[in-house]
This record gives sequence, C-alpha cells and structure tokens, in this order.
Amino acid sequence: MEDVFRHQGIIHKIARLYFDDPTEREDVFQDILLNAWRSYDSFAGASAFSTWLYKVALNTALFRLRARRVARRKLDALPEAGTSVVSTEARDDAVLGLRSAIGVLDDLEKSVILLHLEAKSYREIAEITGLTEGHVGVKLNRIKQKLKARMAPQEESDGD
Amino acid sequence: MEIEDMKKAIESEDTPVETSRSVDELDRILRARARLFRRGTARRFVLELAGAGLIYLLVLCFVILSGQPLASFHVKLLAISVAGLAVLAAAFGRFFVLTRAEIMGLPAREHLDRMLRRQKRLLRFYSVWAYAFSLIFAIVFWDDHSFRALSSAWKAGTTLYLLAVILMTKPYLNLIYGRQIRALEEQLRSWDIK
Repeated sequence: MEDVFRHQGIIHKIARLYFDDPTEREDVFQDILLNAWRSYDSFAGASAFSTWLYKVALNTALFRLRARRVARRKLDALPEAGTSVVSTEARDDAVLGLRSAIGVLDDLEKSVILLHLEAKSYREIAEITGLTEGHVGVKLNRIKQKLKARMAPQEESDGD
Repeated sequence: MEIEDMKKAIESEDTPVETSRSVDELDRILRARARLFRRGTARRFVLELAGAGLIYLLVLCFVILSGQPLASFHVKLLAISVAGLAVLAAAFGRFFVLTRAEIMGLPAREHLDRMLRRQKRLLRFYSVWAYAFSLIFAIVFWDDHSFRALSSAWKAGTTLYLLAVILMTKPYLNLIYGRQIRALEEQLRSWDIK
C-alpha cells in the first residue's frame, strides 16, 4: 500500500485520460487499486513498480472501457462519452486545447502519448503497452501529426 | 504547439485534490471495493448457476409431475447435477477471480490477447460442458428401468428437452458473451500498427 500511495498519481492520470465523468473516474481509481492489490504477486520486481502500476492501471481502464462499450451497444444509442469532452479541471487554454486534442485519439494512442508526455522512454512505453520499440516510434510520430493538425486551427483562431 | 510545450503544459496543470489520499484512506477504499467485488462475483456466480440449475429444476418438475416411483432416478439426477454445477462453478471461479488477477500486470497488448484467448477457452469449455451433461443425463434416463417404464409421451418430451438444451447452448453463449468477445477483438485490433 505504501508503494501505491507513493505512485497514486499514475492511477489518477490514467483515470483522467480515459474518463471524464468524476464518478466514473473515482470508480476506475478504486478498480485499479483493487486490481493492483489482487495481482501484486505478479509484480516480480523486474521492472520499476511505477511501470507495473501503469500496466495494471491501463489494463483496468481498458477493461472498463470495453464493458462500457458493450453496455452502450446494448442500448444502441448515446454517443460515447470520454472521447471528446474536455475536462473541466483543465483551466489553462493550452492544457484545454491539448486535452481536447488527446480526447479524440483512440485508446492505444492516448496511452502512448500520456506515457511520452510523462517522459517515459520508448523501451518503457513498449513494456507497458506491449508494442515493440519500433512501433512506439511509428505511433508517436503519427500521434504528434494528428495532435498538431488538430491543434493548429485552434491556435490560428486564438491568434486572430 | 510542439511536443515539449505539450509536456510543459501538462506539467503546469494543477494536481487534483484527490491525489493526496493517505495510506489509511487508500486502505479503507480498498477494503470497501474488495467487499463490493466479492458481492458482485457472488451475484454473478448465482446467475450463472441459476441458468445451469434451471436444467435440473425442469427435470425435477418432470420427476414430480410424472407421478411415477422415480426416487432412485431422482438421486442419480441430483448427484449428476451437483457434480456438473461444481465443475462449472470451479471453471468460472478460476476465470473471473484468478485469471484476471494473474494477467492484470502484463503489457496491455499481451493482456488483451490472453484475455481473449481465455474467454474463448471458457466458452468452449461451457459448450462442451453443456453437451456432455446433456449426454450424461440422456444415458442416465435411458439406463434407468423406471424411466423406461414411463409412457412414450414422457420419454419423447424428455428427449426433446435435452435436444433443445443442446441446440440452445450456442445461441445462449453468443447472447451472453458474444458482445464481450467482439469488444475484446475490436480493442486488440486497435492495438495493431496500421
């Protein structure tokens, strides 16, 4: 629990990345906490605890996203939340614009850009996502292009 | 905005208040969540077993309604049903409680891949289980002299019922688990480099 306490920011970052609704974020925070506790035996110490916690957090978030999509298909309506809505916590315009642009990325792209922004190396990103280091590089280039393209019109309109 | 500016922008964002939870608070949250998880898992088990137990209940109704002296037959039926449900409960318990915890710390792509394979394996097991127990029921029915002594209508009805169970197994599994598997496949596809 001490380890989780020190790295709880990771859980919040993943929750914020994929979920906009505060209630759902809290739910996913608790799910990640529970999964980290239940699967702690699988932490062999081969990598840093933070890397392992990123994996647990990401897998839990993906599980929840999947469950939500299945439930939504059952309802067969409603647009998907959490993909384009901007967090109200982001106060600064730059962050707001960035979060908005990240919001439209797919699940994998979101996790790759978050880890990159967290200054993780290609090797660490590959270890967490399961991609190869080469694929991480390819993905990141595409994501950067997407983000630039998406943020450019916003910056132009801001400059007017 | 360049990527370095993005990093700075993210770093400059205020840290949310909820990140400052104490160890005690995290421990309390964990205990409450674990309780909720146990309750949810128990409810899921009950639902799964209720579906499978329905087969036994219908057969029990048949035994009672037939008005025949089928006591020994009933005991055999009960023994098979209990054994069958125990096997099913163990398989589901292993999948929902142990498997998920075992693979939670894997890299995301590997996690999705393993989850999909295990979910498919569980469904195959469920199908085989349903077919095997329908077959065992049929053998026990036709091997029992008191059952054979029943009228043709009862025997035909029972055979049709077992046939219906076999035929309905696949559509039932698709209905309950098909969407989950498709969602997993979709998520896994998005992990591939295009």
